[in-house]
Amino acid sequence: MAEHENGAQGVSRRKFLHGAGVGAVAVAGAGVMTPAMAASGDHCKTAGCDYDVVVIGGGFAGVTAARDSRKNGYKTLLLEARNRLGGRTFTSEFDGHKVEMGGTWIHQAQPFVWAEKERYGLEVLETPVSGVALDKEEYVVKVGDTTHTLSGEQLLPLYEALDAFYAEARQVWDRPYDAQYTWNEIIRRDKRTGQQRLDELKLNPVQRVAIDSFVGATAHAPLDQTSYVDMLRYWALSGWNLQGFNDAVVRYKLKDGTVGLINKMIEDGKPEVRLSTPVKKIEDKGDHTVVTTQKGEKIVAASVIIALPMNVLPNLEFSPALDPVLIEAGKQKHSGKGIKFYIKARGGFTKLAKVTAMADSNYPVNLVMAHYVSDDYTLFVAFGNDPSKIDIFDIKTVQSILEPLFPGIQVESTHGYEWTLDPYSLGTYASYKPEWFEKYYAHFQKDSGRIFFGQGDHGEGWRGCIDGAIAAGGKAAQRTKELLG
Amino acid sequence: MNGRYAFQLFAALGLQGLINLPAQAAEACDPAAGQKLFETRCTTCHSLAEHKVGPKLGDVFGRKAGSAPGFTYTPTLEQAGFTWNTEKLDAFLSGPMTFLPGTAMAFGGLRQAEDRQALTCFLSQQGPHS
Repeated sequence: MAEHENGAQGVSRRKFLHGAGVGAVAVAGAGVMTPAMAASGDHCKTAGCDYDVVVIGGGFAGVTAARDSRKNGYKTLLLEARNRLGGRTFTSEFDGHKVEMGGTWIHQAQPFVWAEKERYGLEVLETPVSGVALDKEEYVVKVGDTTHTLSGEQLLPLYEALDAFYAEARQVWDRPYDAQYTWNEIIRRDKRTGQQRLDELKLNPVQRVAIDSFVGATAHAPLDQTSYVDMLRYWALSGWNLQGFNDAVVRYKLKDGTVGLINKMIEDGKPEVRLSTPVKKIEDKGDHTVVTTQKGEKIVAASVIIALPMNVLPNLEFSPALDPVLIEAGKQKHSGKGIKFYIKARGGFTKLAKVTAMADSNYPVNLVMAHYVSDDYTLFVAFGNDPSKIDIFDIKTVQSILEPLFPGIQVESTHGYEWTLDPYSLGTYASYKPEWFEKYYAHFQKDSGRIFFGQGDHGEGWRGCIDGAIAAGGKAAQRTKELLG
Repeated sequence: MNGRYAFQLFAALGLQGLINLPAQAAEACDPAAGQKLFETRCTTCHSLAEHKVGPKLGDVFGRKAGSAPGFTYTPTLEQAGFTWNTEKLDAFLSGPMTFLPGTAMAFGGLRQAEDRQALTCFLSQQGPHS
């Protein structure tokens, strides 16, 4: 029955994905432990090893590292714990629309991902997607029990408030890709939370909620747990202004989904891929490494690239032992720990408009944005900073939470993924917490012998985003090349 | 004639399909609510007919946990050692990670007992879809 398959479009897409996955695995199955059967010229360069490079983690960081390593001429194996690639990106389908459960938006201000989009000739869609031109933009700001609906010039005070919040971004991140350049400015503010910054500004309640919502959704955490300086980084990266920031973080998404780019990268580099293969242990033996899977298989490689979320790093064994600071930071976890989900709804809001609703850190949803707009209904994407405050699958709960924002709204269905529960992510998109620059920054992304760190949560620039992951994976592959020659 | 024959055949096949449902599990419960729940809460990762992020669920009733061919499970599921029935599915769906710590299923659980009953009812009335 069609309802089991979510419509014809979903079937064909899934079949394609399934086919691509099976194909990749089949190649891996043939190549693993039998170098003669691997693609032509793909032999391990180091005596006694199965692979030159083993990449652990198949998100954008790992896929990039594996593609680049294979293209650099190394026999490369990509190990992924889940039975899909993509990591904290996951293209799904909701009500016949392609939706991203994790990382979604890309922009030309994000140099690494945009280069990939151009390289493979991928198309982007505007947000919200709509069959008609949306000339009306409307913000609903919930202050206590009242809502304020603002559009046009009424929005100027919100823009001014955000400009005020981020006013120090130029000073603190004069070079957004070089923390060292303004290190003293960063460290001076390292302990500050977003809430402390907000509290020192003279703003009205509507402006305060707007900042709380906007900055909180960026960190995916309550404002009092976000690092002020790390929030300034995003503003700097997108050109130190609101228009640039908005465009960079919530405007363009890949038409064929993030999975479309993942598939292109795998087809291009053709690394061997093994899905459903969680890793237990990584050993650096000096002249080679040994990777042990949870099933007990041992894989010998000249080098290993770690492309895992920082929050899961404490769950793997390392020999020699991992820098204890990385364990400490991983257990503390980065700030991204909220919920993101989609809502199909009718009524209670202006139709055929770019509608955004904002609420403060205490409310179960903090930012709700139109994602797909039609004359019939709207699909919203919603962000909340604490999954325990809302059961996203309980329509009645979601209805009761949306009702004060859009009186008269009828929530029909919801769709989401609980990244904080997934043992292979244990969090959402990463931002740093207060004090992390002083305590941890120098320890992140520091290679050790034959083990290279290419984690998307770390590195200069758009770390924590798709772009940062591609950057981290590519840079790690390059450093690996320098070791292997 | 042919048309009439085709109609009869169709009807017969339809009836055959009904008989082939796991009749023993088709108890007096209404699967409609469960189907809606399945379509909104499970299909991100599951389908009835094929393995996706999670294993196919059409034939989950009466299946030994962690045993669907072609799906790679976590050791927790592989070693669970029970067969899925109403009781086990209800316990699992109330909080997968509480009931089976170590599962990779990223789902907080169905908090309402009636939702779990509806979903379990729906799944009990499915059969192999492949």
